[in-house]
Amino acid sequence: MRILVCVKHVPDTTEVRFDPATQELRVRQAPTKINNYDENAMEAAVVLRQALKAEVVVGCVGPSEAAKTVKEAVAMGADRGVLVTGPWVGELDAAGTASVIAGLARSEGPFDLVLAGDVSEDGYHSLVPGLVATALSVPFVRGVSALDSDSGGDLVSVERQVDGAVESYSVTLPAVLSVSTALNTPRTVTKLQVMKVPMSKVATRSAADVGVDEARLTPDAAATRLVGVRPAATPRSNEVVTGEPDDVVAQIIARLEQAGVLA
Amino acid sequence: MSREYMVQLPPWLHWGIYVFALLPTVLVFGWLMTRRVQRSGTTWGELGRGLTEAFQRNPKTVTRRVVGDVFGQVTVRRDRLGALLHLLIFGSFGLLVVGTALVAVEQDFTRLVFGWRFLTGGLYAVFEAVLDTATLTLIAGVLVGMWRRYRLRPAHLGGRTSVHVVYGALGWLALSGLLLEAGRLLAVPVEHGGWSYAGNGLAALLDPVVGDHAVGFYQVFWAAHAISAFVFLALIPLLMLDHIVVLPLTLAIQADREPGRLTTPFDLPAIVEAEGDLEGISAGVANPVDHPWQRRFMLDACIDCGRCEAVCPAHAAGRPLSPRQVVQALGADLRTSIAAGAPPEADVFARGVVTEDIAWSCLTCGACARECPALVDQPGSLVELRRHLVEGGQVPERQAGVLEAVERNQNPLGLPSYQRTDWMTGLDVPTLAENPQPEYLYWIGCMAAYDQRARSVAQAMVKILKHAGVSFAVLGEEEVCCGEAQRKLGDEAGFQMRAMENIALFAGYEIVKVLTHCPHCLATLTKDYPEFGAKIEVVHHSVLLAELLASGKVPAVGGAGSAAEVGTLTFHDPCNLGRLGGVLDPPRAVCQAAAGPRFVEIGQSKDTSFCCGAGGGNYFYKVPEERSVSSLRLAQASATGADTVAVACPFCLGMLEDAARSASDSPLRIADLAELVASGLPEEKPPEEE
Repeated sequence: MRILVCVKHVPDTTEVRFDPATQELRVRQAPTKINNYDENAMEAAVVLRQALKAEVVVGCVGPSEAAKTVKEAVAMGADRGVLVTGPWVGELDAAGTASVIAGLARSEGPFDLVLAGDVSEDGYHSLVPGLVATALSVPFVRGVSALDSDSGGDLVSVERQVDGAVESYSVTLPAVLSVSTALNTPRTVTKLQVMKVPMSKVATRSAADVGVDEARLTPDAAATRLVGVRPAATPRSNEVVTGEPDDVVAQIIARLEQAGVLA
Repeated sequence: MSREYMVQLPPWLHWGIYVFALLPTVLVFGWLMTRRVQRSGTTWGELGRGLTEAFQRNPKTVTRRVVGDVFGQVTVRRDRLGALLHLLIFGSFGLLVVGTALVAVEQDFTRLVFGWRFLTGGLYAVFEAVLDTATLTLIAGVLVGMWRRYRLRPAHLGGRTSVHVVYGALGWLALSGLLLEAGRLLAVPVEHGGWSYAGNGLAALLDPVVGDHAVGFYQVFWAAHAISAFVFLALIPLLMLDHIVVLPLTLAIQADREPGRLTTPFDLPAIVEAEGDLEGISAGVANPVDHPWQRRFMLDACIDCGRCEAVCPAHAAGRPLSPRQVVQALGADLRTSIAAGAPPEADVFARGVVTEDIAWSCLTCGACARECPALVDQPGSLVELRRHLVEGGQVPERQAGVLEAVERNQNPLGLPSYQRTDWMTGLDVPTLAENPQPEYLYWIGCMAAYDQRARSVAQAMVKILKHAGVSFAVLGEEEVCCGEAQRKLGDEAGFQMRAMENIALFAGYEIVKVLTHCPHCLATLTKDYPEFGAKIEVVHHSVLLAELLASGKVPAVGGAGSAAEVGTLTFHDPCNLGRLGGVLDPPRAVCQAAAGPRFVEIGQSKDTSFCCGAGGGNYFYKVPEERSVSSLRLAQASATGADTVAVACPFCLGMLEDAARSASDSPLRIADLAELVASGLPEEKPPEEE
């Protein structure tokens, strides 16, 4: 079995700073890291690799510094990693990214299984895995919370949790699966393990290398374009209740009943 | 006046005792002791080289350690009752063996070769009296030991079966020695018999019973005593008394091991710089047999005395850890592996020798190691196990979160790195950019930078430093975690790379002197960083505060209202500062300045201090326990009747304040030394309007 795991290089959300002066998120200078959700996909791949002697390739589309993210993912237990990068990388929308990943899957493939995290911490679109499946014309299941390889046959059994129900699927390979954090607990990778990954295991490719025309990756060619960001104002009714504790409690209960929060 | 030697005994015994008793005893002892050494996978050759190396490295320390601990019983003395019985037995047995040997040397060597006898006259009289006394004190020691073991039964006492054999044998040897002496005095009465007062007294009692059979009586007990003594000596390597040989050896080999210093399995910065191969390097041990021979010998040297368990705060809190049991289990496992001749396939956790909770329970406070007469490094052994767990990715979520936070956010609390300087907003704290050549780089540490409560420690220090006119600067946004949590949690490579970066940062700014109020940073910067090339002097704020108070640069506390607030004051020694760092007096000088005669000591203080519960990364995660370590410590502090507990560590501050808050009836106030001193400063004048 051959598995491609898609990992995204994202800004560290714990380090993204909201500048109260400019009302803007300062994403640019924030430290970067591997997308947490993709670690669950990596963990699933590593488990399959150990169980079935599968080959696991890490795929990433991102800036050149994303090589450290690929290294980190390889350190979890992949055979090698491929980073597709170029000047176009900052301008990609989800469809563009998916086209590059699909190109990567074809040029490095064939793969039986393409795994990814359900969402990315920065974009939160949850679009790319499905678009990759479409581009490759293979089945796609998202939100995978359990995965069984059926000992390496042409099928995998998966489960996904939806609104209090658990759906079970039998999926014909090749397929794309995006996994939820309920699937597993990703293993801890130490600095030493990351350092031990030789750079020879992380290949860098251009769009042309994976068979994608760079001209189709320009902002003009993009299907969607981000035109603006503004803080969403949530209307809150701030009320300050003062007085003795007993009195305050009574007042608060009265207000909550008034507002229909308490029956 | 001299000893009547071997009277009424067959003459061939003069040489027969050497051929048939001493020689076999020496041979059997040597053979058994060799097996004893080899059972931990050690050879005499390694031991010899280890001793030579230790002496070459640090002759003074080795000598002081061995002489102090063997003859001065420096460590043994720390447990009163244990010390009493040990001193009685060790002293008496030593005197008796030396005394008996002296008689043999005199009779069979100096007398035969030179015709010289030295045990004569007054010296002989004293000699007899001393040996009789030693026999009685040996019996007393055995009785104290048996009373402790069989009546008092302290919970921490290990249960080696050979202890029973040793008590029985020593008691019998003392008793049979007295009986044979009584028999000799009856068989061959001498004028000076009164000097052998115990044997003489016994002879008087026995005279009516023994009657005409004195010679036979003497011969029987002589033979019984001699045979059992030689057998006993020959079998010492099989008994817990093997420590007579093993402990001085392990003490000498490890004499210069610094308290709290962890092993360094590799030098990653050096390998990275040399672009060396990283493939072969690893940290931690999966099985005790994987330790280098020194540590294997050390683990096997434990005699199960339980002093470690008696002082272990994790054990007291009902956590699954007993340092005694861990070392015993690792030692037993080691011996099994050596006997099997092959390392086990699975690690100690998979085989159930120790559990992961045990490894994470340790507070690395060093209380156990401080009490250990065998110089076993219990905390270090547990950190080795953590390193193994980390290397295998077997890290519980909370601990993994801490390690990740240090890498990502540059602090173990997992708060954004850009909030590091929030504490200094509005305080006009000079950064290195503003004061490029300060006397002190004030290293804030993650706790004071991020913890809402601990911030006031740094803020108080800034106020004090400014008042005293001390030249200082902070790194501000450039400061990152020192890596203490990484090292204690077992992420050795992560720690080393961090150390390398911080050392480069210090060097870049030509930092010479660092001031810190955090004993964890202090220990890391002074114990761990020098191994990777740090050349800095690190001063704990308690030391500087004591100096500033002594020189009058800051006023003693006691300004308006402040003394009343302090009330009766006690001081909680942070483990990293006191027991492991050796800084004991300066914080007390500060406390004296703050409370004068109303300063009282906690029973467990200075190097017997009891951990607050935060050590070894424990501030950041939980292990199963019956009580919290911090509540135990708070109760000890509270028992002094103090109103205020002074601390000198932001972690202790957090832990004890937490405990004080949850103990609803506790009115105790917890304050850092800096906060106490700052409260004595005159109020700052508001800045003048321009």
